[in-house]
Amino acid sequence: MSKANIHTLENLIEGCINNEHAAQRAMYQIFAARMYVICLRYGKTKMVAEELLQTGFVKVFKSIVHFRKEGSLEGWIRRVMVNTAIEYYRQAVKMMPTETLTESFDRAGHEQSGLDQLALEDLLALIAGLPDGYRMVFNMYAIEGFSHKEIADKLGITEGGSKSQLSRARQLLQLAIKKRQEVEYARLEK
Amino acid sequence: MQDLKNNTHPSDGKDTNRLDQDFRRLLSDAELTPDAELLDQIMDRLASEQPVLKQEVTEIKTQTAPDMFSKASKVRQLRKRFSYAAAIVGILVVLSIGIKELTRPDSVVITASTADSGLASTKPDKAADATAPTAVSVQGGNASKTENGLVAAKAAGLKATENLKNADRTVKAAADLQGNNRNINNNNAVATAVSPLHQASRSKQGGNPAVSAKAADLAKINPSTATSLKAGVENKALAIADANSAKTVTALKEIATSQPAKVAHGDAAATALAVNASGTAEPVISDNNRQVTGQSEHTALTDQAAVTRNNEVALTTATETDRAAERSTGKRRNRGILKGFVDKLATTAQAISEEVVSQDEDKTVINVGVFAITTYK
Repeated sequence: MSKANIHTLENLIEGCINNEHAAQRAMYQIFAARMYVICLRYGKTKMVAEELLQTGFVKVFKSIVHFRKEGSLEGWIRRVMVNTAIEYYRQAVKMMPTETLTESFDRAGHEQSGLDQLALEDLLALIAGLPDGYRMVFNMYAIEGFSHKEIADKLGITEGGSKSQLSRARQLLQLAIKKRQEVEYARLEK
Repeated sequence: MQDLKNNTHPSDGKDTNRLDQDFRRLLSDAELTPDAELLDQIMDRLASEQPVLKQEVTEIKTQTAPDMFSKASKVRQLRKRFSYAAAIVGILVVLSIGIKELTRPDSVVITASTADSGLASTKPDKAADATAPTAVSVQGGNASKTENGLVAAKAAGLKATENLKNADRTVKAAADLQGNNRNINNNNAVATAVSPLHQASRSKQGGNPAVSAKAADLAKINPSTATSLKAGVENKALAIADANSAKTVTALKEIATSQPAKVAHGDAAATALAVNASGTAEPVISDNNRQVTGQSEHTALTDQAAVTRNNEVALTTATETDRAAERSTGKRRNRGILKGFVDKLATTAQAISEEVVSQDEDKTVINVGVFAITTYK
């Protein structure tokens, strides 16, 4: 971060466009930690997350010439990472069979989640424990803020399928959080 | 390539779901430092990817360039073009043969309307019943599609046309005979002139034009004589009219009874034509009689009865001939309860035979197509 501070973002972008290794290293140092969390959310394992991070940064450095400087650079890089994860998912993983959304599905997740007591690694582990399709939809909808239509377009599923998988993901997360809390209470009682 | 134009970060909390909000809050700005080796790997990958791409493009050019212009490739191209042309020609040949096979006429269909089309204008209403079974039998013989039936139907059609001409000629001869008699004296001329006049008026629907013209001429020559008819002349005119009618009836009878047993359906039609012709002569005779005198009515009625008897004989003969022809061609084998069943069987067999014929044509087309494709290969 200290090296990154030397360069302003403008200079970094110019350096990356000119294929300067120093600028590329500096940019990586600034954004890698945040992007790595994103990749950990989308990838089921650490290895997959590192592969996503690597591929994403290669794309960023190759495509930074197309960045129009109209928004934040971090947002643009985040979008590149998410798109890389989606692309990877579509190539490597088959979608889970979808079910029609019912009202009972959508009730999950309105109670106190108890997530504040969990560490980042635990949160990421909860998400990583979801099936591939659920994890993709949950990440895209709950954290990235995609609409169900956008998710359906990007993942090649229906809007109903996206909603259904989101609800299932919420249910599974709630169950996992509850189990963790029970284990924690049991440990404290002892 | 993914859409990189949207630079905004969409993770602003729109969802009211608590779980989603908590996850978004905790994870959106979370940081976790990756392994340091990852940066080196990224830099290595960046460095290695572009030269490989350039090398790949060069290799592709060096491999494809000589091949594109070699003699073998030209020959291959020519062969490809030739194969396209040969395929098109083959398809055209197959199509032309197929169309030719499909449009080939199988048989000459003689329908009832064509069989008695020449008769329709001259026949009287009485003879309509006599022509009906004859027409049906002709069509049935053709429809069976057997060789004998076809030949018989064609021969019958030809003979029917011939006999129709004969009947016309006979009627014309009878009219001429009547016309010639007017030279005997004026009294005869009255009778003979009035009769063609009536005949001309009765055959408006297309009768013999020669007769009509002659009648018109006679009517012009003797209009006054016809009105000043005397009682003394009546007997002579009656006698001549009888003689004329007898001659006409004899001539028609000869046609009507000519070889009824030997002929098939077509001759039955011819016989019916003859009956029609005699039926045409009948009102001529009766009108003649009525015009000459009321006393000759009895004689004319006798004459008419004779003609009617002749007609009946001719009709009976025609019907019998017709039935005999039907029996010989297998048309009417059974009667009564089995008749409908047999007719249905005959219709089904006809449909099947037509289907078989069309399938044979299809097979021929397919065989020709297979042969053309095999030859091409």
